[in-house]
Amino acid sequence: MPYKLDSDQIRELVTQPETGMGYQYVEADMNDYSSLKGVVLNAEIFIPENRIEKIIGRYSLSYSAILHEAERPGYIRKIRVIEKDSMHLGETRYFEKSIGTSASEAPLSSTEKYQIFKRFSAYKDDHRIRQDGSLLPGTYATTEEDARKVKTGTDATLRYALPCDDPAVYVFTILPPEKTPVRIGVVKPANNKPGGGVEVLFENGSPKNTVTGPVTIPTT
Amino acid sequence: MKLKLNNYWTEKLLKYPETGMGYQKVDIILKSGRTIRNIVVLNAEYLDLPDQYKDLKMEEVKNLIIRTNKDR
Repeated sequence: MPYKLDSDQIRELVTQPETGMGYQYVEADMNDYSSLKGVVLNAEIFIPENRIEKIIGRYSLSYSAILHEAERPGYIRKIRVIEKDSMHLGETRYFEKSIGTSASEAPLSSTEKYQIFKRFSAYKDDHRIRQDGSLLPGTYATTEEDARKVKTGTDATLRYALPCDDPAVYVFTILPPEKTPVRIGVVKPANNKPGGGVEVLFENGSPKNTVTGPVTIPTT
Repeated sequence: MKLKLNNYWTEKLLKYPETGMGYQKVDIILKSGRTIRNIVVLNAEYLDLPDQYKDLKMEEVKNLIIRTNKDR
């Protein structure tokens, strides 16, 4: 079970350094006087170490879903960031495996019914999308939720660490059938760009009539 | 500098997975025996070559080898 932090704890954590992009590795003293290690996402939600793989893996990085499921504030008495120098070997292994993994290295999962994905492209005539509205095997996209954070084509090149600086202004929408096999991960920094977006690898593509668009977004 | 691939190469590349959204990475095997490593291909259509290869012609290309995702 993830736990929401109270406002004092959030204020405290935002003054302390991150362990990695968007998270801090912490030790929490719980109300029942147990002590749990784990990660805090966005200085807001604590996920005990023994739950990280299940929670984040299951929701495929859907932050809002984790937030929705989290216990209300009040379960944690005290929380402190464990400095990187004080970490023991393997202390971040669960988190690295689930959140820090690129899609190609992530475990295979399945799409849900009516789950929508987006693909940003610098090319209106995107060759991975066939004329019959299908997606070729091995094609990348992102979740609809992650795509909402991208307002311009330049945003897309940065968030998905695209190698070309041409703004990816063409946005395709993918509505695959339920249980389409995908691998979901995080874009690592590459091509002198920060990455950090969610990437979804359609292992076997998506059948015909599942891709529409593109719509065009602003360049910058 | 971008070098446009013909349909033969585009169709060949599209049989392979992407390295990231909208691109693949390849090693270019030249007929001369040289290899140009880790070159981005955009939209399975354009080789994104460093300036030092600006004079490269497609006729000089013998093969394109897709790199694995770990080479990203």
